Amino acid sequence: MVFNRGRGRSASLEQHANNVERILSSIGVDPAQARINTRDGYGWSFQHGSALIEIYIAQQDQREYLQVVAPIIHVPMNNLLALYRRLLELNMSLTNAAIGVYQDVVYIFNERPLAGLDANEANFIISQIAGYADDLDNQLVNEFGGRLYTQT
Amino acid sequence: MAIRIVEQGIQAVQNGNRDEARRLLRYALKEDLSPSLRATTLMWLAETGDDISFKVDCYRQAADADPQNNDVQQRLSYWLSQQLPSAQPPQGTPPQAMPPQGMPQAAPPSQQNVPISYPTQGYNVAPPSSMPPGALPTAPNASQQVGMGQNQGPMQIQGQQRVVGVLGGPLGDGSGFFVTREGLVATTRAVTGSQPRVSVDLLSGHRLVGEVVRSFPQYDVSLVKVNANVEHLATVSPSPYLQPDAPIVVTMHGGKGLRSKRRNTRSAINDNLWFPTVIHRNELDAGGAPVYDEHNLLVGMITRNTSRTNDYAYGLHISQVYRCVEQYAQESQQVQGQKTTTCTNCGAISRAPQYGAFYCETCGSTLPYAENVTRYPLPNAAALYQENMHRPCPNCQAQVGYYDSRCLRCGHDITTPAQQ
Repeated sequence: MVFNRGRGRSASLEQHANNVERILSSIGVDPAQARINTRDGYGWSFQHGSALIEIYIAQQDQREYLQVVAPIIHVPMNNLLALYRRLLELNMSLTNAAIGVYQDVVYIFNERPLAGLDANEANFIISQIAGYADDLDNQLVNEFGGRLYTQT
Repeated sequence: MAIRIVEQGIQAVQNGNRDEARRLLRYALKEDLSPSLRATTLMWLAETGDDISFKVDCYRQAADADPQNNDVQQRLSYWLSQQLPSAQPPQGTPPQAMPPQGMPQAAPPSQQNVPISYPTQGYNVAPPSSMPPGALPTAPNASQQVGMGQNQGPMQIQGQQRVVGVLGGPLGDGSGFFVTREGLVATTRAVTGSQPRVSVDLLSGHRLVGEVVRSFPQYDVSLVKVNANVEHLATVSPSPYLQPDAPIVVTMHGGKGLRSKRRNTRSAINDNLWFPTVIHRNELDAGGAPVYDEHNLLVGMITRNTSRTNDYAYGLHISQVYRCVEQYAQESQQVQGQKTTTCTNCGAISRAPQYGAFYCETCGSTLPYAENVTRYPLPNAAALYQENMHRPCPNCQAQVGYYDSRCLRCGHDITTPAQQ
């Protein structure tokens, strides 16, 4: 679902977007600066430590979801079999997070329903995803090549 | 503090002061040591005496402390075999788990009787073995493989071995049987798991070190090589399949035999591959026992595989076991003279050592010798992984190949125009 976002803005989604912005403010992120344009939903992008974090809210089956996404590396030109296997192995070892590949970028992400989300939990999710991203990005590039997502 | 005492004990061994070494090492063992350090200490303690029972006792304790330590297992196997009445005369060089020669960033191979520098190599280094060089039996063909010891004279096995024990696997003790006169044992993949080595127990009581040289997880077959020549192999049934309700005998290691029959089933199964039995899984050991028919002909190998609907075990037809043996023989022929290793994850023979590469070209997992070394991208290994033989992706230019018309790297669908 992470990369299948954008099903139209609803009043409920807007309300959740306001909640997310409040949560971002409470963890020290300026929501106005972080806001990014998405075609049909809401999104924010900011730096957390050395990791780039993107947050989206989306709606599926009448339920709103929070998506916290950290792009980490561009997939290298070679060594894909070993890299993909490692990503799957890492996927098994992560807690409350998953690894995925979209086009040629490796992401770490978390999704959860927006209902009941509070600032503490949002902060925990963001910190956890950022922590994993921090730990893994250089490690993967050093071993398999490719390029850090944040590197031009 | 304990480490310091261990260090002093090791120093004493190296200086030839065995009484002092034994005192210090025993003193250190009373302290709270990590499992690997305890095993190392016990291995050094074994070097302070010549008595075989003493050494066996030390290695047993070391194996209990650190069951993953292959070096301990090998030494224990060797000294256990020395306790047997007709053990092999020691020759050659003992096998050591060492990285392949020339592997980048790999730790230097440990050398026999060369003093070990502890500050640089750490404390979890085994002592130079007091085993006579070459004492451990290893696979003759395996000398070309990575991490294996040098060849030595194979043990001659007289008479027929209907079954052997295969020990040391993740599910406990299993069985197996010789499929070639050169000491190749067939058992199930479930018995060996991803272990690179297992112990093979002969009917005579001899215990040999077996190298898992090839596995076929899709057929639940593992082939284990021991350094032995077998005089007589079991006679194989010429029939390509087993008749329904045909009587069978499963001969397990340890003397347990099961009389049973091929189950008559209406379910569609591949008769050349699997045959159902009326043996419950809990009646079996870890698997791999030979299955004989009423004429005492080898018809298959029992496994712990069952159908989804009941607990009856399936056997693998002997013809499929021999197809695996033939495939292994062909692959060995193809890679003759090259540095190879067996991938413990998928069981395939990997040519990665030949390229200095770190990953199995079949499943992509990190090979055992590369686990603890610094790994980095190796552009010249693209040929090994067949990543340079495809036409470039119109979107990202990668030559890694396609699946379902999509680039394996960027997912671009080559049936659609590239994005500008």
